[in-house]
This record gives sequence, C-alpha cells and structure tokens, in this order.
Amino acid sequence: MLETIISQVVNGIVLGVIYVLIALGLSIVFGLLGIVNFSHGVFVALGAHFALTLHQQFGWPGVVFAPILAGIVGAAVEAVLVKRLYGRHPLQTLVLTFALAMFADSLIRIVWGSAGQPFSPPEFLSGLLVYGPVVITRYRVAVIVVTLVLLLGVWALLVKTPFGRVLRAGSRDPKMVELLGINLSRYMAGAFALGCLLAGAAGLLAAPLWTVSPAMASAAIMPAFVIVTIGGLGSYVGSILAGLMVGVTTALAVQFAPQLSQIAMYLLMAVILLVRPRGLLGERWERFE
Amino acid sequence: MARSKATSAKWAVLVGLAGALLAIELPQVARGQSSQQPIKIGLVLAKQGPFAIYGSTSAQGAQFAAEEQGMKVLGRKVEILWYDEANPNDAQQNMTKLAQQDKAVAVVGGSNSATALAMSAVAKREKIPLVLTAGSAKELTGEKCNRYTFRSSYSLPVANKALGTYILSQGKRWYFVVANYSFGQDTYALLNAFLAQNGGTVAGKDDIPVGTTDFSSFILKIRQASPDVVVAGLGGADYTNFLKQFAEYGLGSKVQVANPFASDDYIWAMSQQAALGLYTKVWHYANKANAPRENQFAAAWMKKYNRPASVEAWEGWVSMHMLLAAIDKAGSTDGRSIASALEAVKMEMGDGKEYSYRPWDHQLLKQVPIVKAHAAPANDKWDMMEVVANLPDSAAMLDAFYGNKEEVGCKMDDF
Repeated sequence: MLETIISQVVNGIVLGVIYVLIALGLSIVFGLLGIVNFSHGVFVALGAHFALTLHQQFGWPGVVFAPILAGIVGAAVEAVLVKRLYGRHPLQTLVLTFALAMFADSLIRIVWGSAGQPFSPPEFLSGLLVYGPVVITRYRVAVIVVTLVLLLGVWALLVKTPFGRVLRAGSRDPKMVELLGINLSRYMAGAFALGCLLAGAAGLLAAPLWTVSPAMASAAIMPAFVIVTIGGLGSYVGSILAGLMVGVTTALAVQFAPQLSQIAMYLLMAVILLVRPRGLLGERWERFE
Repeated sequence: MARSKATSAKWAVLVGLAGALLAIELPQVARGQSSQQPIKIGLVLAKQGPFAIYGSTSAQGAQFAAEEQGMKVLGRKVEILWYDEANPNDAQQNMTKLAQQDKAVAVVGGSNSATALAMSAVAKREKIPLVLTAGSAKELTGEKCNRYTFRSSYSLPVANKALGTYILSQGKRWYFVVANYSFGQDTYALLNAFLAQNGGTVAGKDDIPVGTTDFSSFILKIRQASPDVVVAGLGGADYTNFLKQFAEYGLGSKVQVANPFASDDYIWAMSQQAALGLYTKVWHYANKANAPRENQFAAAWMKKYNRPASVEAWEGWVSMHMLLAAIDKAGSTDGRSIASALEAVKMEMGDGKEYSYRPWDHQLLKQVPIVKAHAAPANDKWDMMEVVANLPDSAAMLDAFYGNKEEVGCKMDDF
C-alpha cells in the first residue's frame, strides 16, 4: 500500500509541475496587470498548434519558436484589445477575454481543424525510468527540468532586472511610476506577452503528452484558474504550491476514488477557500475588494 | 364612392389573376403525382459537429451507391436531399420535413444512437422507411424496433460479444477503464457479464470522468495490476490521450488494449507510437473475408477519393443499395410497400454471400471483423489495421450471434 501511495504521490508531483507551468502565465498576467485572462487556455492550445506546424516544417529545433510566436500574438492582442482594459472593472476584462477565447478557439479550428492531431516526444526522450515503486517517463522528467528553468528565469526577470522592478512597482502604484517618467504601458505590454509566451511554452510541453486539439484550451484553463485561486491571486509561490497540491490530490483521487478524479481539485479549492478565503498566500488587493 | 369602386375593380383583377394562375398551376400539381417526377430519397446525416466526418462520409457512400445504379430506380430519376442531424431534435425536425414537405419516399441516415432513436420515432409516426447507417443502441432493433426502421450497422451487444470472444483468446484477466457515461458503462456491463460467464477475472475497474487529459495515475494502477487485457470503453479525445500515455509508459507492447468502438478516421489520426489496440468494426476495406462486390466497391472508392473506403462509407453505400433494391422490389414509392420489401430484399455480394435484414428485428446480419491497429509502413499511410478475426466463424452461426427474439427484445408492431 505504501508503495502504491509513494508511486502516486510522485506521479502527482510530476503532474503538478505541468499544472504549475500552465498556471504560471495566468498568475503573472493577473498579478502584474490585474487582468483575469480567460483566453489563457487558448494561448496554451496555440502554442501546441504552432509547435505542430513548426515541427512538420523544421523538425525539433523549430518548435523552440512556438512559445515566441504565442508571445508575439499575445503582444498584438494586448496592443489592440487588452491595453484598453487596464484599471477598468475586472468584469469587463473577464467578458472581453472570454469573447477572445471563443474567437481564437474558432480561428484555431479553421486553421488546424477540430480533430486531435498526433504529436510524439522526440526519440531520445522516450522510455521509462523505474526506481522501485516510482515510475516516470523520460519526457516527463524533461518537462520538470524545463519548467524549473522557466520558473527560475521568470523569478530572475521579475526580481533581478529593472524590467521586473518597474512592473512590480507599476502593478501596485501605476501613477507614481509614471510620475517618475517611466512609460509603463510598454512594460505592461511586455508582461502580457510574457504571460502568453509561458502559456505557449506550456502548450508546447503538453503537446507530446496530450493530443494536440483546440480542446486543449478548455483542458488547460480550468486547472489554471483553480491553481491560481488556491495559491492566492497574484502569488507565484502560491501558484507553485497549489499546482503541486492539485497534482498530488488528483493522483491520490485516481488511486482511491477514480470517479472523483476530475472534481478532486475543485473539492480541494473549496476546502482551502473555506479556511483561507484569499487562497494559500493571497494578499489583500485593494482594487478587487 | 369612386375610390371604393376602383378598389373593388382592383380586387376583381387580382382574383381573376389568381384564378388564371391556379389554372396554370393545377396541371403541374397533377403532374407532381405522376411517374415522371424524380423519386426523392432523404439523407439525415451530420454535416457539422463531432459526427460531421462520419456523416459526410456516409452521405458520400449513399451517393456512390445511387450513382452505381445510374441515379435511377423504377425507371425514374433519383434525387437525394441531404439534411443535417446536429442533435436529436434537429434530426427529428429534418426527418419530419423530408416526410411532410419534400415528400421523400424513404430516408437513409443516423450517425449516432441519439439521433437514430429520434429519427426512428418519426419513421414510425410518418410511415416512412428509415435505413440507419450507424447508431449502436440496442433499442433501435430491440425494445424500440418498428416496422419502418432498419439497421445496417451492428448493435453494442453484438460488437461486445465479438470483441469479448476474441480477447478471451488473449487472456482471462481484464482491467476495465470505462467512461462514466452510457457508452463506457454499457461496455462494462456487457463485457463484464461476458467475462464472468467464461470464467475470467476482473483485474480492476476505473470509471473515467469525461474530459480527463492525464491518465498517468490510472496507468500506474493498471501497471500494478498487470492484467492480460485492458478493456477501454472510452471515446473521442479521452481515448486518444489514454492510448498515447499508455504507450508512453511502455505498456503498448506488453498489454493488449481493446475497445468495442472504432472508426477508420479515428485510427488513421493516431500517432505512430500510439497506434495500438483491438477493435470491432462493422466492416473493413482490407478484409480477406470481403465479398467480390465489396472489393470492387473498395477499389472504386480508392480510385475516386484517393483514400480507402471507411466503415461509414460502406454503411452509407450498403444502406442506399438495400433501399433502392427494396423500392425496385416493391414496384412503388409507397412507404409501407418499401418497408415490407426491405424485410425480404437480398443484396447479392458474390461468392454466394448476401446481405439482408432479419425480418423480425430489421437487423442486417454480417460477420464482424476484429482489427488490430499498428503503425503504418512507409509506403502506405492508410495501412494501420489488420483483420485478426471475423466473428462468428461461419455464416450459419450469424442468426444466433445476433441474438434470439428474447435477447433482442423486439416486438414488431403492425404497419
């Protein structure tokens, strides 16, 4: 029994890391811009579809550009639509990004079709690693490594660079930052593009695990929201903790109550919100309360 | 006064014109009932949504059959009207429209059980023959059977019986991963009963919520249970994801996966690493057991569309052929006559093989091929399935295989 639990907990952590990656971009866009981005899932699907096409055209080296393309699309969307929402009522951003999600979903269906498309991990990453009761595939290990690198990169960007300092300051007191002579709107565009780039990266890494299809968008958006909510809106460390908790909870639910596996994360969210209404590490946000 | 006179004069002219028009129209109305008008046959098959690929292929198959007959029956031109079946309600409305407004003599269609059941009810009410291309619900030729509804594909119990018979030869310890809706639960109920009857054991059973994307935790459980066969009663993207991860965890080459549902497009869309599993199919284009006429059909289809004829193509093709043969046999376009003729008509396939609907439940009887999926060779991207068995073993066993009156449960009503 213990072996079973160890095996499932490890698998849950692996699964959780994938969830963290999906939720990270959403958390950044919310934390820095105050935008509840319902179209986040679509950027995940977009990243996967870009990866599919790039892989067909240029092979494995080409797929690196999939998240970058998703980031560029994100920047364009920011310039045309999202820019107008800063500082507005959160409900307006919700409506607009929800509409955007449906619009982009249809576009993906028109360009790539509705059906699932096969996409396999590269040869050198196929195969299993077995340590006693713990079974992990090589590809999932690679996903963990890439996610850790991305997490570190984002942390360094936000904490160690002037770009990050301006953004963090601007997210709390935009007027003060602009009074200092800083053109905040360019930084905010950058933050939105970064969020979309991370979504694209999640799509790229999830593509070999799941089937590439427009349905990836809805498969990604719900766990992402649940994780950001459990972790506390705007808290990156909270998102990471929450992602791992959701992964482990789901894996244990599969072992002991498989029919509950899809709702396990919602139950977890309900319990945590009852105990901590702002989530695990949520802070007080004046403009949302 | 003057004004009202002018108005009544206008009215007189109008009434006169209307009368004249009627006089011109009347002969045409009479002509509409004569034998020179085309015979209209309706198709109610999905044009959009998840079943669109199946619906449109069946429509092509039906058209293909009509063209083989020179688009003619009873010496009159055949006109095909194709409507959508987006949902049961839509299918029902379109079927009613075909019967009442378009005066279609019969309908071919039904891509899935839900729409097929809805359409079957209209067939009974409007007394219009309906030949179902797909729809595997037992009730269609069971409890809800009626004089006007015929089925060219098989029922879920028959598909599972065929699959169960085959996988029992692969091993007697089965693990069930089944969707938590009717398809999965029915699959479990049928195959679990079959397994128990034949002395096998259940290694485990998981109900899978619809929309599950990551199966790794389920796969770990399967790995621990080490069964002979995994019965996967999953559909759509859930199943594709499952297979992909099953292969990812290295189980693809160790444990057989079986699924009672397969369509060619489904298997052709599999990635090469995850192309695995045993499936029942209503028909398969590359099957040594196929009759000469089916081989001709498969070859002609390949030539025309540059891709093999899928199950749905065959279903549309055979349904339309059966219907046209019945109209021919009936010698009339009367719904009741066509329905009686469908009970008696036989489609000669060559080599002494023929297809017919069983008169008491309107189920077409044919052997069920079991196929095994595999990666495509470099020279033929379509070659992803191999027929490993045709069940039951002989045509003489077909009647028993499809179930007796008590098992099927059809009590045929009067016309």
